[in-house]
Amino acid sequence: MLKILILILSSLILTFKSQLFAQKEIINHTVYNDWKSLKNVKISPQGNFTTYLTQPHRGDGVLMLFNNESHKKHLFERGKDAYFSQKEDVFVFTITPGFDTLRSLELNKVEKKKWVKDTLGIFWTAKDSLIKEPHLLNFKIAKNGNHLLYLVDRPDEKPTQKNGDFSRKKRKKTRLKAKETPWWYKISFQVTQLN
Amino acid sequence: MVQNFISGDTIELKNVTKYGINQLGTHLYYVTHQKINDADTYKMNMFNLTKDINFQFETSFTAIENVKFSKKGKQLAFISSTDTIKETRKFKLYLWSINKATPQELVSEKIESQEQKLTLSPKAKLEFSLDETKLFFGLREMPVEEEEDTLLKSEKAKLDIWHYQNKRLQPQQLKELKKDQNASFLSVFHLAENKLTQLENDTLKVRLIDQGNADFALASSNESYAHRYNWTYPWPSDYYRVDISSGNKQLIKSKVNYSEGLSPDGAYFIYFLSDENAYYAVDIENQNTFCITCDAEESINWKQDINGMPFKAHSFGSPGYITPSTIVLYAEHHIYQYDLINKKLSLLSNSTNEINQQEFVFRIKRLEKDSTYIDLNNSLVTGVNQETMDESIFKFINKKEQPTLRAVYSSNHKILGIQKAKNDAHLIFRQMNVKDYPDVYLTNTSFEQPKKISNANPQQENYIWPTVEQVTWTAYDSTKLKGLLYKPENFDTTKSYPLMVYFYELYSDKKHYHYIPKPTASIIYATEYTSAGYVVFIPDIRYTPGEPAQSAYNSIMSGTDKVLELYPNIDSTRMGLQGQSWGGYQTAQLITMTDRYAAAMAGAPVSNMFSAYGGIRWGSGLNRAFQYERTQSRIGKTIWEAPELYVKNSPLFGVPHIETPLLIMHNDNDGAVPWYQGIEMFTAMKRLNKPVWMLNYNGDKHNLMQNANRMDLSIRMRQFFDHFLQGKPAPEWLIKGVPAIEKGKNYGLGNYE
Repeated sequence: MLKILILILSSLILTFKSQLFAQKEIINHTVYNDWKSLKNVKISPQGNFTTYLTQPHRGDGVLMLFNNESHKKHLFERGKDAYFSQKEDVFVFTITPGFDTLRSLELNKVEKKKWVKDTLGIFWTAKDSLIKEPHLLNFKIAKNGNHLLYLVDRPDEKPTQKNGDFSRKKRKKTRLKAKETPWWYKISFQVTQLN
Repeated sequence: MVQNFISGDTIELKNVTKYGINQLGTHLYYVTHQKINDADTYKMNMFNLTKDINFQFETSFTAIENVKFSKKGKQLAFISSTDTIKETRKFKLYLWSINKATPQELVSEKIESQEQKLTLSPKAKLEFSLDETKLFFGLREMPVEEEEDTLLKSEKAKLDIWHYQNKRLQPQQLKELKKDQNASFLSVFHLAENKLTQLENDTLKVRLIDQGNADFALASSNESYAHRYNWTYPWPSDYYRVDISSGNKQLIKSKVNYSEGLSPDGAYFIYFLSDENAYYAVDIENQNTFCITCDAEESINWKQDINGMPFKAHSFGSPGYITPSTIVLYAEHHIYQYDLINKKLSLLSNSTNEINQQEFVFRIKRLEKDSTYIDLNNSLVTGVNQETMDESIFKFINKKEQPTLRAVYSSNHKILGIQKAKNDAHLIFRQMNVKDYPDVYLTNTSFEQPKKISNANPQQENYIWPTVEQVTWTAYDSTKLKGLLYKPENFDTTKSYPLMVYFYELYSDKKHYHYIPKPTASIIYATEYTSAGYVVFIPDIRYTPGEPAQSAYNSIMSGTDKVLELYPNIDSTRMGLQGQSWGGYQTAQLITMTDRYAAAMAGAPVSNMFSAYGGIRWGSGLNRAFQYERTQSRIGKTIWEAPELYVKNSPLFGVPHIETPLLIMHNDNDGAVPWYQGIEMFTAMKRLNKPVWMLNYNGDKHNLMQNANRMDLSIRMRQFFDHFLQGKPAPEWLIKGVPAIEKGKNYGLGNYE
């Protein structure tokens, strides 16, 4: 009795398997664009997070922030070039305007100067809050300490007359200025167009 | 500007062109720009973030070219100029200590060296020693104003003059023009002694050791040998030790083929003697040279497998030092350490596990890379089983007395991307095999319970995927060979299959490589072809010097026999060949020696070794002769010494024997094999009325770089083989081509999307 049962089972598996194969598709050039590669795989300095970019052959990637303890995932569409602050309270990355947007700008022969720029994404890991800064040229984050620097090129602002002029904006204290984050400078640079 | 990000002060600095922050995160520098009377002016600023103070250096510059914080972050260096004329601009070097309000000028515009007048190079590397006692920079010759003439362009001759005594051929000089224009001599400023020392000169290149901390550096000169680089290999150099303080040079040894450089304190120089299969050390102070490995067991092989290339084999090298006097050396299988003071060689990769150690290749994987030294506490060892290509991870135990390896993880995968969190035991890695994409795994430094935390291509399960197996056989000349055989996962022994044979040197060690479907730069991928109903075979090729053609025949043909014997349902009348570059040459050569294969595709093939011998690798400007005399092409003789070998190994002279339709790709911007090689093959086959096609992707390289071209080649290669091996209808381009008048409008691909 037992033997018969096993025979039936394995023949069932065989049928199922061949049906499965029958449904499987053949690879050709039409599938290339959808296949993904993992890029910029990185573990955070204190080991609490892992990040990687899932990039399709054509189109926009998705940036992953994976919590190594809770296994909670945060996904950021069009994100790339991610960095952690030393204490991992902040996760910064670039958000691109997107494959289709950039492609249509090129297709319509829009002057490169006038293209939509990247946006800076600043994610507070403890608070699950994301801030975006548009018109980004580039950014730097200190290996130690709590500082993020980024250079923006705002189209509506003109270069100031005074060399090295800087203004300071005091902001209201909020819940984000918690004890574990004693203080945080956000320094943005206005850049001038050089020839 | 920012609505919901409120956490403290925000500082906005305007007109900024350059900026950077030190590693401590305490200070930032930024360069501000302003137009004054239509002229660009720049200022250097230092911002103290802990004290909230900004310092601006009063001097206005016309250029600030190079700015660098020391690694520890207490010093900033920059190179700037106040000259208005760009062409003859001279620069100064400044040092800004972070606790000072202004920078100090270290080096002015003019430096009187022994003979020349030199000045600071704005393009050269600017680097502090790790201990912040020295600052390294480059000096160059004074820029001179070029005299303007009053001639029209059409009134000036434009030419290159090739001279037989030039060390580098004109094409190489033209390729390296930018490098030559920006050439500079590495020099150092000793900050405590306030002293400048020039280290490099016209003929000496210097390499720093111990992250710039050491009192010495390694200098090398290829002056006596460079004129022969076009036809010899290896390329020897004379080695010197430079005293960083005085700049004095001491010759260590001349004409060294394989140097492992200086020990981190500069006391020893290590080199490899291929003829003796031995490493030697020079105790530089005592002028004493001694063999490191001569007392080791003779079975230990320090030389790499160069598979029949006619040159003196290089070694497996050294990954670095454990202490200033303990060097780590790799042999074919094992890892050794050598104590230079007690002159003792010992095995580092002793394993406690019950494994056949001779089947493994052990290599060190450092988990931190900031230190000059390898820390065994902070290192893993990877071990790859050469039979199965499965990989294991080991940790060092008992480090003090007798370092021993304990396996912590084993997998039927290739492991890559091991990365440890800087301040924590968490570790990530990736692993792949033919079925598994290299997804990310999370674990700790002991590899406990690895958890897969990515799933890049879940759609893979919807497609027919390959399986891989290792095939072993004995070639016609009795050589034992290996190869990889890929079959579709639904392989059915009652059905007939066509066979694709791809090859490039040795490939069987790539058994666990994962290939996603993607547009090809030049070769077929087993993933796509097995899915489309082919079996794909990749035999290793073992070479005898002087006989590349016969060696390929011996390996590929005997391997094909073996596959047909293993799987009689593979149709021997439907077999194809495909290869690129050296593999493209073997493909073109093989079809002159057999009519066994029904179709062949050769990418960038050498067809005529005579003309290729005298040709140029346009990517580097080197003459190709060294490849035939010494490296990959494996002839081992000049065209005058052995013209018969050049005839015998050139597909061109065997074209009358070809019975196989051939598709060639050879692109007009090929920097490795000149595209004339493809043309010679094409015109010969056309002349003798043999079916041949050639794809020239305009402006593209040896392997295709443009995605649209890769997509196009992927489609055409499949159409070509599908037609000849699967009986599918031929597309227009294959039947009658596409005339130039229709170029860009009609691709001749038929119904393909």
